[in-house]
Amino acid sequence: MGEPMKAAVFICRAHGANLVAYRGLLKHPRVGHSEMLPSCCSEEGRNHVQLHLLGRTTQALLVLGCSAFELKRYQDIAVLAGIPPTRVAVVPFQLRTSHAAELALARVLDDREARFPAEAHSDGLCLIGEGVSADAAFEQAVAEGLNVVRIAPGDVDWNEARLTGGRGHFILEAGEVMHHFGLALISFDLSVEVDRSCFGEGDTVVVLAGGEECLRSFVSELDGALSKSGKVYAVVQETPFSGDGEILYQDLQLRGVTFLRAPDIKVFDGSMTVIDEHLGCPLTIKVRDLVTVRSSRPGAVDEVLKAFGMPPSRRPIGLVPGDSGMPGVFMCGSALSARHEDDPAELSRATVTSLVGTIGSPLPRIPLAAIDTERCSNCLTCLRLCPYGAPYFSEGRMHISAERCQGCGMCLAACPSMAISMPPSDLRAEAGAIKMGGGLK
Amino acid sequence: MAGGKDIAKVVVVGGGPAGLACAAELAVRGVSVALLEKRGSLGGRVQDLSCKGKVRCRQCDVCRVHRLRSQVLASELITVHTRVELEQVERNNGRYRFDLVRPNDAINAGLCSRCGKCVEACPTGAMTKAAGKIVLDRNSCRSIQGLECERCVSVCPVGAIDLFGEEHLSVNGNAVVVATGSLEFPASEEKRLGFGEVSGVMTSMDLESFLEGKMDADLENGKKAAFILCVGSRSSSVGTPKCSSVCCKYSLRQALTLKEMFPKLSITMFIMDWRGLSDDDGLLRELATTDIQVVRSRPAEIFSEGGRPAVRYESGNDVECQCYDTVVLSVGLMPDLDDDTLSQMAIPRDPWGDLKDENCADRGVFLAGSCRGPRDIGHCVADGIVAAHHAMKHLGVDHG
Ligand SMILES: Cc1cc2nc3c(=O)[nH]c(=O)nc-3n(C[C@H](O)[C@H](O)[C@H](O)COP(=O)(O)OP(=O)(O)OC[C@H]3O[C@@H](n4cnc5c(N)ncnc54)[C@H](O)[C@@H]3O)c2cc1C
Repeated sequence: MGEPMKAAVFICRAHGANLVAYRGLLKHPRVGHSEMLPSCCSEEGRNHVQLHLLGRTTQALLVLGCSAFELKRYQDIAVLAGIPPTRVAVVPFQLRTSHAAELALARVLDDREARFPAEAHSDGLCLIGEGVSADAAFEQAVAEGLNVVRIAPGDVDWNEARLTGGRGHFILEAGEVMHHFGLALISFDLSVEVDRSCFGEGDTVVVLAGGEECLRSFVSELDGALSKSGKVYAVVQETPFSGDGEILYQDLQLRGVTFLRAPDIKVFDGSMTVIDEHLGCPLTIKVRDLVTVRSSRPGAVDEVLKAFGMPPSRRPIGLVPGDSGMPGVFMCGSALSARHEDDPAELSRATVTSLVGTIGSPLPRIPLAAIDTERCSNCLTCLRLCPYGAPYFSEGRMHISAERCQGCGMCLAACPSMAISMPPSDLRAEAGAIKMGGGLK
Repeated sequence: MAGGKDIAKVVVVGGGPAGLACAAELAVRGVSVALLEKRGSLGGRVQDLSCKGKVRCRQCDVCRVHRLRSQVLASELITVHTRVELEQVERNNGRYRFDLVRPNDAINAGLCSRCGKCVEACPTGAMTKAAGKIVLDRNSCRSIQGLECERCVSVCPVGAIDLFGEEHLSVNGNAVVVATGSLEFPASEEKRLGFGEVSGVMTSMDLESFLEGKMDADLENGKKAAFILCVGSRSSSVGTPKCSSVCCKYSLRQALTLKEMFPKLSITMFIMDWRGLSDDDGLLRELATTDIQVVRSRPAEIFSEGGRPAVRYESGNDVECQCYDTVVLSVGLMPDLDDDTLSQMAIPRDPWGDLKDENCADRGVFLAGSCRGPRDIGHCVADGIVAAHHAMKHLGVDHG
């Protein structure tokens, strides 16, 4: 397989809001050339773009932040350089978000439709991730008798990896290896670290710098400290003990732990000053042991999400457990969940269980987006936004290709004229619409 | 199927989010289910909750339950029995039999001539005529509540009223999923907060009805409202010592929704501390962009001052007092200690009354949802799905 296709990206009117919204995209691995221009909608600007395209280092063109009406002109320029009109997109300034830009990039680089017909249905589940939740998910998948492959995040160079296809026929090219699967599950946990420092004589202070995922380590550190001499202080921002955890919290207090709620602490030479929000005055503690429990998000999460064409801020949405809003891709684990649950492993088991009904079934004939041509103002928002390239413009009006539409609902949320509808019973559409910050109409 | 028997493989008790998710999951996998619900309709508490993100989604998950409900109602494999009460449950050869009673409709719609004589005769207003139909509110009917009355029966010219008619049915299953949920803390038990005595004090459940447009409240631009969190939870004297884990989240969503509706409504939240929130649910970040005040204090009492609720609370070393137009008590979740089904099935409880799974799985009983301890909708749904899996394993159902 050759080098993956890359796009040339131009930011038009590259200042102010355009720059803020789009600059992040320039570092995208699939962007082969990027440039900021004062205006590409001018004769001069277009010549510049054309000059680059004729150099043939890129195979697609994306122009960010100008007017939607310019699309046709860019398509004409691109054809001269052998780039088909489907590989050209404009993200108009009205839609000035990095998310929209990313989707448009995915669209111009997309070649799944041509190469992977819908018949190539796979019932495999690809689990990517590590940690307790991923282990639980894998176990559950095996117990459910699923055809599951597990990829450790370290096994793949995600910056080089290339994902094509869609639900039922994903292909992940990672170096020499090709993985075929029907559904993907991405699972990562926040990793918990404990730092200890010792300063001679005094009391023990355990600082919590994380959420409920740190609870177990935090309690065990406090337990350990209680068995030593000296007082035990727990410094927190917000107590992470929700639900049944309250019982633990009260027990620790009874056993002599003093909880301090302090946004920041200063340690100097074995002596620590905290300002407890409740007391309101500084408290000085002579510290023997300072223990910090903190959590961090594994770096691989962002890389994997990027390979799947999703922004790092993507979280599951509530409607189906673990649903990422992108058809066929699910996520679980504490690093990817917006909720703090005391048991992320149980949640990932639920996610896998709920996939069983989906995975074996052939590609559902998804309810299609339909355009009400009376209302449609031909603004082409849907065309630029659709990750599957389903909307197209012909004979003076917009259409949505039944073959390509995946029912994701993103166009529904973004359509300024509210001209797009989908059968309201479809979860996926609702999910997509919520992701885009809108609701079902 | 009056008096009849039907055969189901799994009996799910309770039609809240956990029970619905479990039933739906089982049905998707081809297992037949009998869903028992004591209320008149499915959805559990969520029937009384409102969407808390009308302009911008705040992921309160309430819509999710409505979806699950339609999925369950549409499924051919799920038989739903609403308004049922358990008479007894028996276990034989690993198979459970639930004997149930269901009160019949008090008014036989086929006979009723809609003359309205019963409506006039009813002393409590339990009989009403709505949309051309006579309906009875069972909770305010004197006869059904055990008092002497039956005036409606005697005035009815066509003999269409039978207040005590009931129907018996039994349901079988090889496994049982218990998803009986939880109760809200009854706010009137916390005497010092004046619920039911001081006007303008309402519970968060009432606020949900207000947000749904089903109830009036003194909430609009220019008014002052307060939320008091942890009512009936984290308390050693009333309610439960546990944290209810949902009320920080729903109260924040409620407050933000109110702010969205009435930008000039002044809101104060009295909290102990924020629980169960995470950075990326965005609630605290959204809170910071509003002028909602947060006071870390557990108010001592609410009393009436000039007909409005006044909150007395500690602030630093002082005691302060503030008047509001409306005070919302954010009630926590409590286990239902009197549920007869649970005692008949001998399901063990932890010291705080929540159900424990101990030795349940061996006899084909699985627990899901907030009967296992307070938890939010998302978690209840996940619980239900996991319980469905366990039940299927118990039945030895083939996968794939
Ligand atoms: C004011 C308020 C607002 C809330 N807002 C939110 C929110 O925005 N988001 C969120 O995630 N959570 C919210 N919650 C919490 C949410 O209501 C609960 O998490 C959820 O309802 C629990 O679901 P469940 O299935 O466990 O039980 P329930 O919803 O309590 O349902 C249990 C069902 O079982 C039935 N039942 C009980 N016993 C029997 C029996 N013996 N036989 C037959 N049927 C029986 C009951 O009638 C009931 O229908 C809120 C709670 C309150 C009080």
